[in-house]
Amino acid sequence: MNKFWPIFFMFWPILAIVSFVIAPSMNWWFPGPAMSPLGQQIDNLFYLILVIVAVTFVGTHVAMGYALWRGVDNKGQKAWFSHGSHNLEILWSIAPAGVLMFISLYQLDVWMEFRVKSHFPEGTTPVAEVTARQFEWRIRYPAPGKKLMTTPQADDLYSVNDLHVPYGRPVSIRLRSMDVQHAFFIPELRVKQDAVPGTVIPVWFEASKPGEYDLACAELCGWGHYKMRGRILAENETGFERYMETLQAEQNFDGVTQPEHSGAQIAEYGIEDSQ
Amino acid sequence: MNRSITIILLCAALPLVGCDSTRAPSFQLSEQSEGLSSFAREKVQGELNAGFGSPADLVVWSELEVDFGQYSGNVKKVSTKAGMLRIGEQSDDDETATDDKEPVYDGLAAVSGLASARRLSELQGAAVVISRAQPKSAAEAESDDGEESAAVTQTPQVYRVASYDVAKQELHVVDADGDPAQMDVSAGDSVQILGSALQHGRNLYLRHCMHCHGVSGDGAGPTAQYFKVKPRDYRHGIIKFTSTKASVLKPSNKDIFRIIKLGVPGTYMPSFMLLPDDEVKLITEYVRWLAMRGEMERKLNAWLVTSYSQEAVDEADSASELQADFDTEWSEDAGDNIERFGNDLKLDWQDADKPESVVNPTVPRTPSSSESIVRGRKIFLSKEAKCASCHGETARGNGPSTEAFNDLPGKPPGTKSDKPGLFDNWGNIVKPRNLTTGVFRGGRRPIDIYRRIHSGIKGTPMQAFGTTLKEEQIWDVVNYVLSIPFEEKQGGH
Ligand code: HEC
Ligand code: HEC
Ligand SMILES: [Cu+2]
Repeated sequence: MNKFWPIFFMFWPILAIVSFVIAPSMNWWFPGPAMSPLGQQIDNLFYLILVIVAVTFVGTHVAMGYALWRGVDNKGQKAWFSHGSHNLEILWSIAPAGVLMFISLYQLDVWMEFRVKSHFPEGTTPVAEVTARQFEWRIRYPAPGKKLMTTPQADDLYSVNDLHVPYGRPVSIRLRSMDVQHAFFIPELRVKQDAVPGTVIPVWFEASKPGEYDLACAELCGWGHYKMRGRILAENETGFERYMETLQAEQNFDGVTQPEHSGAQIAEYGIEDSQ
Repeated sequence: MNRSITIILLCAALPLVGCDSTRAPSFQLSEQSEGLSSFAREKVQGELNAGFGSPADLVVWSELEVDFGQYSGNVKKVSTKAGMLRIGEQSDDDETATDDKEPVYDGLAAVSGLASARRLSELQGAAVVISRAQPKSAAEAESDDGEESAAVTQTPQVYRVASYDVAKQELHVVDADGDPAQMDVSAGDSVQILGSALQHGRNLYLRHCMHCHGVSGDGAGPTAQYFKVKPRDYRHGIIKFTSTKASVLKPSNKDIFRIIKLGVPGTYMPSFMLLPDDEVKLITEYVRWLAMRGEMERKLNAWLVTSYSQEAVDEADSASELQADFDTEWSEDAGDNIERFGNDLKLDWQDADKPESVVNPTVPRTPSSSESIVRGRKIFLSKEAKCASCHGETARGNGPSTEAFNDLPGKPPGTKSDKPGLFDNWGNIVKPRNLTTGVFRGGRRPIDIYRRIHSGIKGTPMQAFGTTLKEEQIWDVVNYVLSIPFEEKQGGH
């Protein structure tokens, strides 16, 4: 019975480790594997830090558990009194500082690649301007074959909450906000960037596989924050081009001229005119 | 120690108390009906209850032009357990299997399509209508009169779906009191399940739209008070941005569908782009139904308000005499009037969904050239179109009309506002659009702008120009309007 407290206090760290170990198989882990090259690197960094923290955590808890366990039987023994150790103090200040230094230097490349425009991967193409607004994502694409300009153009194409991008190459968006602060968050691509009123922030990402990815707002922006759900649809080049052409035909529709491409987009809107 | 545990437990219990989900939503009467005398109001309320029910207990009034959702089939076999119908295409050898081991059912019905219902839980509360199969001999005897007279003599039994067990294909049916229904069925009777689409639409509406548009569709949901542009009050049966002609009062189904999908840019009406199409269709039906309910109330009001308002009661020499008058008028005319109102609603909404009601230009858009834009601008400033009188010469939405006392739309001609400015049918001040921003609430396609000009914007002072302007002229104006946001960059005028 006198081992109750050591067991009690050791139970919790063990529970913590067990839940960490089973977490991935229980789906308590990441929102799926990273679906972008940079996301993979971010995950690797995460795992590196996790390993460092786990080693420290296990080490200190084993030591503490051992001390507790032993201490129960040390009834007669007199406590050893310490005035502190200068060497030890130095050691446990420098060692963590060194570890932190290592992490901050080691991650610098990834951080620069993600945040600093001059370090964006070569060939990153701006595909759209995304303007966050209470409570939706308004999207402006350049017309097919044109470049995205900083100001709206007469032939720009518009959409909302549904961002189409080509997959397999880096693309960027111009992120803006119309009202308050929002955050552009694509969990599966490990992209998260605040949208700040008054500034335009370039954000790049690359979807390594075609498919649908969730877009969420990650900054509490008002009562409708939870509604700011969007979709990123990563398609192959022809699919993406076809989408842009459909959008163009849709947006120039005059009720008479048959749109050249009566594709998915028009049908999706349920527009009578397209038949 | 004990006290802190209590506190922790209490805190943990807080979320349970905080959310009052038991308060059932209910349809409110409009402000107009509140102005009726109590006896007239009671009748109006009664009529609405009979025709539309309450959010928790929707009524399928099949006279209306609404897709309520319907499944139908026949009773195959009868046994004795109360409140249960067995559903599904029943093959012959199944019938022997039901005998001893399986529980016995009151009715064994094959209701086609039911198993493919998207969400069977949505069936809960839907009406189950069982109509007697016509006895053979009776049918023969009345063959001269046709089938109708025989059908009239049979009152169908109406129950509600309590639940549906997908695996067992059992439909649990309750009567008006909520008890398992004692059904009187025989093999061959027809079974219809009505209103499942309406119920599903209601659930989606309550989740996505109610907090702005309100339970009754009055545009006064709890969050509506925070917006400058108020959510639409559907009860007038008017929607601003439609593809239908000016002479057609209602929007088409597709207009509503499109608005829900795309939202109204520049206002708080969000886009529901990511909701699946079939869910948006269900919401569309529910919105149309709410509009019809509101219109029915308005029609009843318009009929009763002159003679039987609360004011009339206060001014009358004898309130009881007035009430007696009302009772006679009601008993004489109510039946006919309500039938006529329902019929009008049906025709109006039917009309809006006809292909010929849609504004479709016959000439294609004139390519946008500077000549066309200049012509368009001329028309914009001209006397016939008088766009500038509202939108202003610079199209910033600040024309002289915005400072004048104007006729109120939806009121008898000559009714002026008591404040300067333009008003919409809902009594809200409405600013002509600032066309320099490039934000178009009803859509930015050329055809959208064309339709805005051709049919006007319903419920607002912007009237239709389809008769004053020729098609080519409208296209010129469209080209001009679409060029306004880019004017300065092109050197301006
Ligand atoms: C955040 C509040 C909000 C929510 C949520 C909302 N709406 Fe709206 N809705 C509005 C506002 C504001 C307008 C008025 C726009 C205007 O007048 O230009 C509007 C207008 C409309 C209109 C009329 C458009 C027209 O052409 O006149 C329809 C129809 C509509 N909403 C349907 C819906 C449906 C269906 C839902 C739920 C799926 C919904 N709304 C959810 C705020 C909202
Ligand atoms: C009596 C005043 C009035 C006149 C005349 C008028 N408008 Fe308007 N217009 C309005 C108002 C008010 C609105 C805003 C309606 C709303 O959204 O509630 C509007 C909105 C618009 C819009 C925006 C539609 C959208 O989807 O956002 C356009 C475009 C427009 N008007 C063009 C014109 C043109 C072109 C003319 C002349 C042919 C014209 N208007 C004449 C009052 C007027
Ligand atoms: Cu947000």
